[in-house]
Amino acid sequence: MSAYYPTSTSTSTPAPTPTPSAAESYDDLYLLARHSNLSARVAEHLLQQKVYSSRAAWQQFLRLLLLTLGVGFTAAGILFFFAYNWAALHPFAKLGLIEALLIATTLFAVYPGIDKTLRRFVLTAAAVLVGILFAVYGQIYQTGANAYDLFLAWTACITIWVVAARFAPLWLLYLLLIDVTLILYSVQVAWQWSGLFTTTMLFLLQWLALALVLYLPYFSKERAPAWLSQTVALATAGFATAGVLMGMFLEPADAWLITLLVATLLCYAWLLYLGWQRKTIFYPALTGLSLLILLCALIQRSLGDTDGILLTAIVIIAGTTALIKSLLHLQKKWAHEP
Amino acid sequence: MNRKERIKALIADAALLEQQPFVADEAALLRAGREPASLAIRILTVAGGIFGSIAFAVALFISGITESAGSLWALCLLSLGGAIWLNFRSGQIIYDTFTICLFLLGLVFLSAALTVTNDAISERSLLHGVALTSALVWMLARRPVLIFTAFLIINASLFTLMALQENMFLLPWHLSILSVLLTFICLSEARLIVTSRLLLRWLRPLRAGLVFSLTGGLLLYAYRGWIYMPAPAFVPVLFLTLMTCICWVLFGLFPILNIHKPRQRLLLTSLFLLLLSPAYLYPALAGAFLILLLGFRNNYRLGFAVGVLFFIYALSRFYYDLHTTLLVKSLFLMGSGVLFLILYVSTQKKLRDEKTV
Repeated sequence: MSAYYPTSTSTSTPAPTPTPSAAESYDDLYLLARHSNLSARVAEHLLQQKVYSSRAAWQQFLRLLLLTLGVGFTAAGILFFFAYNWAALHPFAKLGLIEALLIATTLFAVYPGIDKTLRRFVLTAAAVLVGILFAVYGQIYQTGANAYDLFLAWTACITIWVVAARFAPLWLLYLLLIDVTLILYSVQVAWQWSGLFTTTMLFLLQWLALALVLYLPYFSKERAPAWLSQTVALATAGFATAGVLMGMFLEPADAWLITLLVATLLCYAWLLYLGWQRKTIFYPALTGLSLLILLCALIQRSLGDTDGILLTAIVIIAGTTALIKSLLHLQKKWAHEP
Repeated sequence: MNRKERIKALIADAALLEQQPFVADEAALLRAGREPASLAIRILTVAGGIFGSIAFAVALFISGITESAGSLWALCLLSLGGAIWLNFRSGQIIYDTFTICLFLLGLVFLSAALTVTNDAISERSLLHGVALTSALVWMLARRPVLIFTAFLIINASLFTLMALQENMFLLPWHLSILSVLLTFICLSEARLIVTSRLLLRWLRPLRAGLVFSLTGGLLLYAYRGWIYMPAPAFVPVLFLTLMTCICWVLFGLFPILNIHKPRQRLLLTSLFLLLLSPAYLYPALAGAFLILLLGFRNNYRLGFAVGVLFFIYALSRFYYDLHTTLLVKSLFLMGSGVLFLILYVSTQKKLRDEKTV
């Protein structure tokens, strides 16, 4: 135990030091509370200063919350109102209302002088309205078109906004629309495509999107938020795992399985490199989890029944433990690096 | 800034702020930091434990070893004993997957043993057994993931018991207690972490358990169609508790936002309560909002993410609620939306004025 005497009795804020992340400070503060005679007053002060949301963060949060709830509730209220009278409305009124909303939101988004965040939010709302417009059109005229048409048209129509807005939620919506379009196309039109081929396409698409999101700062000033790259990485690993599982259990092995396996291995090697380069354990954890699932599936396929299940259980426990141990080792190593 | 530098800076900050001589064991602090488990690792631990226990249980049931009551009781005692032993013996996260797996296997074997011992045993008795055993393990638990898992299972068992026994009038009371406890833990964290080492160990897993239990309970409450609903007289209990908790958070927020005038505070609180009044029909909305607020206040990312997702889900369920017409819902939503926009415009104006001054 070492005694540290205050250099000043003042309760003023200490001189600023390079700030660690809130999560790191939080862990450290809990440890300090355990191994010192920290008082509740100082603990509260340190939590407020290093962990809890600051005044600026609250202002930003409340601004976004009030705006989102205001726009969202009003729009939902209008939609509910028309849904109440929907059957009685003339088709022209139905389409006209949605188009009026679409024009209003788009004009608002290009109006000079409004806040950048507000502009992006409104443009995202307009992108959603495009989809609603197509859906209502299809419902009124019973176009008989396949659903993929709707999603394809929706995707094509919002492309320019997606590029112009540079807004992560809109990018995610765009990627989701492309995925849905591809899945529906494979089911409704290209039914001769094998499930393995479709999954491989989807996997390659997510991988490309992940690379674009991660290397965006090299081409533009914008930097994609971590949640976007992690969500896309999750989708990439998800499609890779699902594809290989499909190849193991459901579909006859063909050239696409080899392609998928090679691409998956390359992608996972790249994800591990990313984790090492950016000192984040998310990518190694994701890769490890996917490989563990595939290993268990392989055991189950080879042995089957009781032996297979028992060995699978052992592999899950031992594999998870080994994975956690190596992740902890990496995390500790990176934490001690400057 | 590496970990050693961070710890030194933190000690220096604390020493500067303390009015009493400050004593800290720096060596112990640096040693103890070998286990900075991130969210990804914690999720892996619990998921590995769950899937491992399922695979083990299936393998043992297929093998036929579980047909006799004696072997089931032995397996149950071995699993639960092993989980508690590992929990006491090991101070490292890498053993947590084993601990969770053994604990869950113990509960599966307990249910199977009770069923084999007495064919006529009711679901209620089984759930009582699971809840009591989980409560016992929870009291003995030292590892965070075991505290979290046991707490979740206790609450899940109690919710299921209420639904099965048609004692749903207890649900608002149960959820009210969980809401108050979560708010208290989040708002009094500093006081609690310096009070005792036991609380220090329990606080974070308990908070996560409370967030998930409250969310699960409110989801159950939200499904009005397929379960017996509480008597109307008990519905306001949960709504009033959630509103009180939200006010509690707001009062703590005013000094941070530099809102000191009593009139302003009263006006803002009244406006927020007015905005949340439609949640009387649908308490899940108020509950999600409370979790979201607390998550943001404490920079608790998991809680915040759960709050946001639950809020979106609760709103989407509101559409399918059959107790009110679409017209009433539409008026509620439009009214609230316009009020939110007025509040947005007025806060923007206030911020601009502050910047100008």
